[in-house]
Amino acid sequence: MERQDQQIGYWRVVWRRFKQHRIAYVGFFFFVLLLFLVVAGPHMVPYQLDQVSLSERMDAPSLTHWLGTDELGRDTWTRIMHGGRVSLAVGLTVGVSTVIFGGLVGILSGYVGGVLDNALMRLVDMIYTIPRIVLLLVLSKLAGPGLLNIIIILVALEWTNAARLARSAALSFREQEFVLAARCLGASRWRVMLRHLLPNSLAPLIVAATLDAGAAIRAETTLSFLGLGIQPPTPSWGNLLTHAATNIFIAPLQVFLPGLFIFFALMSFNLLGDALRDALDPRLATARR
Amino acid sequence: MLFYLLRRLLQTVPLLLVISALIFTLLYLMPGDPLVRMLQDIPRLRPEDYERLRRIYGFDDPVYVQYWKWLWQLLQLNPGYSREYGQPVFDIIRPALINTLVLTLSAVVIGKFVAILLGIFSAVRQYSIGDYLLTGATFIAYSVPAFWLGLMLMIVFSVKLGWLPTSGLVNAELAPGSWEATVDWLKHLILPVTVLAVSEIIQVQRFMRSSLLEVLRQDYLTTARAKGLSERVVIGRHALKNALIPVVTIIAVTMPRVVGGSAVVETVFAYPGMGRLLFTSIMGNDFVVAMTVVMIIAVTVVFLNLLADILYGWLDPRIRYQS
Repeated sequence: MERQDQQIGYWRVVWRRFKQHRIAYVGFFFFVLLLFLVVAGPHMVPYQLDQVSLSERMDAPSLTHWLGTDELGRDTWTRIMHGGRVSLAVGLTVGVSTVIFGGLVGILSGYVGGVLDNALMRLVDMIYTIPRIVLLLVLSKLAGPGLLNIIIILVALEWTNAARLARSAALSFREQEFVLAARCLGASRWRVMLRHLLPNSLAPLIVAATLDAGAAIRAETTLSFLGLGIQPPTPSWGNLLTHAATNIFIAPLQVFLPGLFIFFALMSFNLLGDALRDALDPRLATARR
Repeated sequence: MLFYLLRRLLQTVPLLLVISALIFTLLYLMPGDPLVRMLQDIPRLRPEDYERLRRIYGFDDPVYVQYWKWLWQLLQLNPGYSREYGQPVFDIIRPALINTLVLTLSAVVIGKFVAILLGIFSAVRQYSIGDYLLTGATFIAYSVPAFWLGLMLMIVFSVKLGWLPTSGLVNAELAPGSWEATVDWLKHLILPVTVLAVSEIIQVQRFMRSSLLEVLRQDYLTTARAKGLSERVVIGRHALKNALIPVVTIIAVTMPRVVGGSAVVETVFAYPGMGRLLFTSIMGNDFVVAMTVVMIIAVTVVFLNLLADILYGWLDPRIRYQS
């Protein structure tokens, strides 16, 4: 067994550690459940997204309307599941894009170094120093509402974290023998960066992607709640709350429910991020105990 | 040290200039003609007057000229008038700034204090039921969006129990300065301060716990116990002194985040502070108000970051500034 253990690859080990992580199961369970619900949920009930029924306004949950209805008698279950599609799509897209963009910039910056590195890192510092809420408000007002706009804005503000991680990984690997060997064999700069540095920096980047996805959902729902992100008639977990909040005295449950789904989504990403960090970097896991 | 401080202070100047220029340009690009509102009020104006007004107010100037004029005025502490209210900017900002300082400072003081107490409890009773409950609670609270927490507290304490008001800050029906008005003002503060304090607690509690745990393992505490000191003295006098060092830096580092947090909380509770003013002025294209609020926030954040760096080195002599 010992000998076999030494021969299995890095990713096999990671997978094994991930499987042994109890918290990972909880996070993974919630994530899969949410994905399943937002994909299949709207098909479980016979209502359309904007099917108004004025005789059933702000009904309590019942067998016909599982989670009740909103101020126009629209089915809350249907709306939350549709809203979840939007909010989860924003989160996943932003999480993956920040890491791809930030990771490439970071590796380029760390490997090439010099003036380019200096300029890019000053840019990262700048974005980091300007109060986030100011940039979010100004940019989303300027760009206007829309799914693509909000995704671009969030990526533009959140890629810095991944860039810093990838840069420090690239810096630490740049002078190591395997990179030198690759260069001696005549590998081009791009080949070194993409084939050698990128795979070795993946561990922190995967964790960053998970946490960034959660942060993006938080930012999107907050912006949509404030009326700046996703605009009705497109539902999002954030803007569903805005409308429910105006009727908080009559139907408080309608305020509670969309937020509960935001909470589940954030928690599943945070749990997954924690578990992935422990699985990918066991040194951190023991240090934290 | 002094040289380092001066250098860092000088570095903030170009940083603030770049931030202001960037935000100025972004706000300048926003649609909406500042003169339209004025024209609506005075229907007698002819197109020639409109052109003349544009020239007088300098709206025809290129953006960098406008930026320079704005900056020059701001440096003379004369940022101009609000488009929305027609009042001097500082008259609008002053009450908002005071309200926000009340909100954020009380939230920070209460939040950090509670966090440190909870952290000490968790560390001293490591692996007890209370420790597990606290760790679980902070992890859960970390995933709760602030605006939703605010709405939930509103449902419980305003809608269901009817104890606290849902929003605003001042009840106009009560005589200002009276006992009733003060109590009412405090009641308005409870929910926003709580929401903001919760996020402060989350950020610090875990650090306090792990920092104290690390100190508790060290030999000098065994010595203190061997001398026959009571556990209270060992923890309170000997352990806390060292355990608080990293916590103080974490507190300083997380301070700027309270700015963003208060903007969301203020909007949820319709609290008349800087965050809400930032939001309404950007939404309503109230250019100079938005710019002034942005600059006040930016200066605060930049200086808090600087303070964090300085505290870091001051508390931990192992960190050197020369490089």
